[in-house]
Amino acid sequence: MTNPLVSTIDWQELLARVENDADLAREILSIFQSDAPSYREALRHAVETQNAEEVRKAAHAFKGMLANLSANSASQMAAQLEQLGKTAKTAEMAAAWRDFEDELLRVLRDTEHLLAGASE
Amino acid sequence: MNSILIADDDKLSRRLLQTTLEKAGYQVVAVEDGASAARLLCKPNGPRLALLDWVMPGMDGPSVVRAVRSQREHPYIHIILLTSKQSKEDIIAGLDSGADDYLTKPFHPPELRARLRSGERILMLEEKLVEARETMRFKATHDSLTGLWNRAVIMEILDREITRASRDHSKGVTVILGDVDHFKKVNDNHGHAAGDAVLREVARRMNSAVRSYDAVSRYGGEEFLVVLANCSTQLAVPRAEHIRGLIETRPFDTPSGPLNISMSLGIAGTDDWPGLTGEPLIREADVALYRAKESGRNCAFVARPNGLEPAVPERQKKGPIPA
Repeated sequence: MTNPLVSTIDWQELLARVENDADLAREILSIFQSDAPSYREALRHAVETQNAEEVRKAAHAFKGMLANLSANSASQMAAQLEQLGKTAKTAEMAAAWRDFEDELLRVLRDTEHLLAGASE
Repeated sequence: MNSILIADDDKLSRRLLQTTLEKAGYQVVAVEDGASAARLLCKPNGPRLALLDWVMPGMDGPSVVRAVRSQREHPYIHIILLTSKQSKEDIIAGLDSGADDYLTKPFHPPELRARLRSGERILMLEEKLVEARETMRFKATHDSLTGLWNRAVIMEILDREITRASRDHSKGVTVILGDVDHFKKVNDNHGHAAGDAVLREVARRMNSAVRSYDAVSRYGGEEFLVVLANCSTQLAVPRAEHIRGLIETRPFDTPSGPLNISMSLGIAGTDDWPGLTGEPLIREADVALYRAKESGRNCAFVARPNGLEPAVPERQKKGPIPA
């Protein structure tokens, strides 16, 4: 299930961490796929309303989920957003959010590739 | 032992944990918030192992730990916090809340299993200690030969029952002090093994003669004390006779063969002796017991404030049984 198009999720690392249970890896990918939109909306709303506490919470949730998926770069970007929320640096949040959202979309696209590859 | 609670508001993380733990043979209870975790962990017979996410809406991991630890008289629960927090201050705060261990997310399954095994070792150690404590508690409260209450405990029971009786307007508390007749001869003629067998069997027969809320104890060498709660002296007399009959009715099996045994008994009740505490009441029963020995043994006497009277009128009495 190695897919040259996938760049944001370290599939081998993910597989190793679930002890080569490919079914479990796919299951958590699809949980992410269905849960991500609402988390994304919550984070977007928090950034737009400059609610630092909500940014911290929503980014924290993303950080954990993305780390579990081995979407390491996206997880780090969520960690940065979480930090901005924690320190209430509202001025920097919008830019960090844009970068994160771009990466998140790539992760979602890769998730789709990986799940599609599984059914082949 | 292998039931485990996991609490995590992130569905993905919960699924990963649950599957990993189920594969390792654990029975998993998964919840998505801290309050549910605290409720389940505080229930009797709940899981003894818990993996709690640190950050959860409402009650976070450390708050759950504090709630669980505030429960006294509850078996120990081994709690591991799951965290993506990495700062030393956070980890110290988590452990200070009462958590036993922590694991950083994303977790590594072999490490998770190893930490749970370490937790299980601690729980097993706790179980052994509790078991040892219970054994010690039994030994401290019971006579080792007969398994009856020991003297210290029966005195506590007696004083407690007397206090309760004065408060509840019950029929009172009556004590029966019984002494095995010619016990020294049993030991001298048949050996201590026979003597021990006699004492054990006396204990068994006396125990079978009382109600569940009465207490029987080995008061001294061959002396036995029965505390009858909510029982007047009048009602205690046939009970003492019943005990006496159970002892004399058939021979005792001992390593030296069957032996005929009898018992003399003294009775005293708080309805006759209002205001007496445990020890003076037993002294009255002891005087009655002494009188029973004097009048030929294998009989019971009642200590009344106006004198001692036989439990059974003279003419109906049987003769003593030689040991």
